[in-house]
Amino acid sequence: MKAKNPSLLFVTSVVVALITLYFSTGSTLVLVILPLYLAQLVLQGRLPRDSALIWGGRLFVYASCAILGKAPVQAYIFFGYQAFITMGLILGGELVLQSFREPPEGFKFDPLQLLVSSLLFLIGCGTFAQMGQLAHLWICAPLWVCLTLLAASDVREDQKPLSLMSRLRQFGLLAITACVGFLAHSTLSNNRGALMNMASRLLSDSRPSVSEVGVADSPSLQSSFNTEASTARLLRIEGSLSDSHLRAAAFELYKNGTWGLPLSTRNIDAANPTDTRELKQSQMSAAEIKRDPEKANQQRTDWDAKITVLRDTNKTMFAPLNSSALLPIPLQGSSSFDWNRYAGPLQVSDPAPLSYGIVESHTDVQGVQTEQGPLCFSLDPKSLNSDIQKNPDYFKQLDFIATARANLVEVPEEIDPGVKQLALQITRGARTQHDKIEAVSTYLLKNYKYSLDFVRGTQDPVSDFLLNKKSAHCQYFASATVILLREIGVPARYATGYWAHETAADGTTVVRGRDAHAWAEAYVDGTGWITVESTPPSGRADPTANPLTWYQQMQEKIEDTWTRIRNWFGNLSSLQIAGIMLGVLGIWGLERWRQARKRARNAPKKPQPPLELQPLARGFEAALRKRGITLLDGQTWSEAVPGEWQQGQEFIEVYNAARFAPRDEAQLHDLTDKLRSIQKSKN
Amino acid sequence: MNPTQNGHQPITTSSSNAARESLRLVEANLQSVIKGKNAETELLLVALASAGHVLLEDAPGTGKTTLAKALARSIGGEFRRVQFTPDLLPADITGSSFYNPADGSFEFRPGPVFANVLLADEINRTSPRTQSALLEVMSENQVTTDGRRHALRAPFFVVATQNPSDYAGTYPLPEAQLDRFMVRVSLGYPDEASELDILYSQNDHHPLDDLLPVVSVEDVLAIQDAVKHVHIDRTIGDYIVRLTHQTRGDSRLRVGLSPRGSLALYRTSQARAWLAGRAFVLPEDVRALAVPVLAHRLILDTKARYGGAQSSDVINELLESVAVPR
Repeated sequence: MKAKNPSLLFVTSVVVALITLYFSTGSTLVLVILPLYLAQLVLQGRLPRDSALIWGGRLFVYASCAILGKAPVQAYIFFGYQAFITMGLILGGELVLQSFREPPEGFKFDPLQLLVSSLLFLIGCGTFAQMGQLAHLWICAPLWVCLTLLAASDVREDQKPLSLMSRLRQFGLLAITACVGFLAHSTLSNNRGALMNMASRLLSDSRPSVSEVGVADSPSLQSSFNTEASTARLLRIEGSLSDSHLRAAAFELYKNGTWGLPLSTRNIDAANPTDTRELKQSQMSAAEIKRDPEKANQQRTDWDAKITVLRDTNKTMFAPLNSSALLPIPLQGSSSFDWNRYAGPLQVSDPAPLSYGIVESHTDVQGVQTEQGPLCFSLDPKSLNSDIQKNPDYFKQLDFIATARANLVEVPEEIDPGVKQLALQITRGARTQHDKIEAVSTYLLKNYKYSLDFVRGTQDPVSDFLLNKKSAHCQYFASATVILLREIGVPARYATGYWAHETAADGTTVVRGRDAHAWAEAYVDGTGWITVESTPPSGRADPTANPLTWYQQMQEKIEDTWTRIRNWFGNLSSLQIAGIMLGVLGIWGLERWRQARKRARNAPKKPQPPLELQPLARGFEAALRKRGITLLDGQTWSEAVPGEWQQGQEFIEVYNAARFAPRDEAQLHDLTDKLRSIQKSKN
Repeated sequence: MNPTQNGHQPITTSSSNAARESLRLVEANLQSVIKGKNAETELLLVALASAGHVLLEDAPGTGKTTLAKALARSIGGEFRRVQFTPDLLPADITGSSFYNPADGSFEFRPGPVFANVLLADEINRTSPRTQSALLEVMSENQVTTDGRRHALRAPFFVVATQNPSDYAGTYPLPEAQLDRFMVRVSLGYPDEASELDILYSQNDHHPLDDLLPVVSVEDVLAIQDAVKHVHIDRTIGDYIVRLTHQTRGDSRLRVGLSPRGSLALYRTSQARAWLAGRAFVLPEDVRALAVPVLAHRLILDTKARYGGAQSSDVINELLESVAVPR
């Protein structure tokens, strides 16, 4: 197959595309390169003959991609403006590749080309796969594959009309493609939800929501708990957080088997020392961070553990006790999280960061926890700044602490009086708060059993559990602990979240849906908040008891690898992507150039007439060109010249005699005269 | 294209003019029998003038045997015909040695190949073994049996007919055998007017019966010698070589062209130029003869064959792509 050299217009369009790319966004590039490409086809009168349908389809895909580029900007959190640029690049690259694939002579189907353009397309799709944008992807990708298949089958070996068999073959392929398309469409529409979940997990950073268990707003004691025991991964933790309770919420008010927040805490802005926590900043100034966010992120290694969020947590973050700061990684615009410091779910107003670092707080010299992190509020009046001059809200805050302490020891009315007797009985002999807490949790661990089928009666469920049933799940154990502690005057509250314990050999800990848990937190004067675990070990998820199947492990590995690849591409700057594109184009161009040179070297030299005839031959060919007669390499003059042009035929006859017979001078003179008369005659 | 359309002034001697006229008579003979096939009869003359053998290939009933017989009758030499049947043996063609009880010696009895014109009818209906008997005869004009060489008389001209190889009861000709034919001619069906002509011309008797020899064996030898002296420019020789070389690297071909192929194209081009009354060969001669002289020598790759490609297409493609000397 003869390869064509790229036309000037084609080269221009590539150059213009690259220049546009450098200065502008991808959608502009599409707008610029498409007309140029089409103009090239039209001007050269070589719109691909048999593939009008295919090209129509292609243009539709490009157009829909371009329309997508006009969607609201906030849809592209992952890449931002880079998404536009990338898509433009991909389209540009695809156009460039395809334009080489379809010269009029046809071009051999090149799997490498197909691979490169497919890869580019995939990356492009990945960049667009945001929430709600996936439908587009599902239309684009199969369509593109079908079109490429069709185009690949559309290799025109010669200019002759296609034989019946090859037409039939093409039709068969078309039919198969259509069938596959319909099948795909019906499958997609039937399983849209499942597929969307899968695609969003694989292609984007949006995550399906976790079950409500760990992060519920107002957990109520159910007859069962976390029955799904889902193995889906929720968090990945690197660092020193193995075997810890990751808190998502803390609750104080118990009413009718449901935990909630007292009204007072919902309106505490005035009394609360501060609602917004300033995050620990790195040593760089804000301006410096803005200038060079990558460097800022590199410096952000001052955390003790890093939590990577693998599922959408509905703006909820997780923090263990005694974490003095949460650091978003990478730095994204705001550098602080807003949350309710007192109690309730640990929710932020913006989407939670994809990963954040946790800085553990350290006990000071007196052994007092100065800072216990989110959801922790000191009940010690000494922690307040008593200087009225500097802290005009001192008395308000003092008042607030008193209210909070009262809330935390309040036993709801519906609790059976027998519970108080039980609490006193358990803690008989215990002197310090620590001992009392220890006694309560030990008692529950020893005498109560874990069970997932607690049947709620008309009674208060916690009293029922403590006094009668004596077997239930962690919600009941946690609630019972809180109530028992309150009965003996220890401030306590109910906490929910996840229990991180599944630590792999490489030191990372994985938190799964089945790790959802509830437990109690007690306030010990002089120490601060502590975690009270009273659920028997059999009630906590055990990774060795329910190991993952090989299939699940493989799936997780694939997901991780894919995420790494996607993140790698996601971190590329537009300049880097342009560089890669240029590199690919460069290698490809170099290869073409090399092949062209090889061909040129191997190509036989054109036969030349003897020296004395060359001016005559050149003159005659110029005359032919003037008359609009095109001469191919494999054509003799008499074949190209119309038979009715007497003058021309005469010249050819005499020339041939001079050219191919043993020569004589008289013929040369005769020829020169004839050529002169041809050159003089107008037509 | 018609070689006479350029209306050259013949740059030849008068004796060769007379020989050319006698060949024209042969042509007239052929055309009186086969109507409307001037290009094909011309090819037969070219083969005869360049001392090459002819393979007539087409469907039954298109006039192959008639044409071959007409050609044989027009030449004054000895004519033999062999009907190639499946049970034919090599010795039936070349001849064999017989024991002579009178003097107790072996005596060679020449087979039908010892003639000036040999009509090998339905050549592909015999086994490849028997076909191979023709290999030596056709390329070297001799027969070797029992260690003795028997030379054939000159000129020796084989006209073979065959049905296309996918017809029932045919054996494909070996490549080596095909290569020994100078040209392969396909007659094809006549057009309506010619067919009507054929019907009426055979009304009372076959026109074949009227034919008389118009050219002697000596004339043929003289013509064949004259053809060898037609000038062929080096650039045209180079053109022939470039054409054949291109076939050797073509992925669609299992077997490219042999030097025998280039030589055949060279010689037939000379013959065609000579027939047109020219003393030199034009690229047009080469191009007009490329398909009949070269196509049957190419063996297509299986994939290409099932892809619907034909060897004549390959040749035509070459003619379009290889630069012509101008």
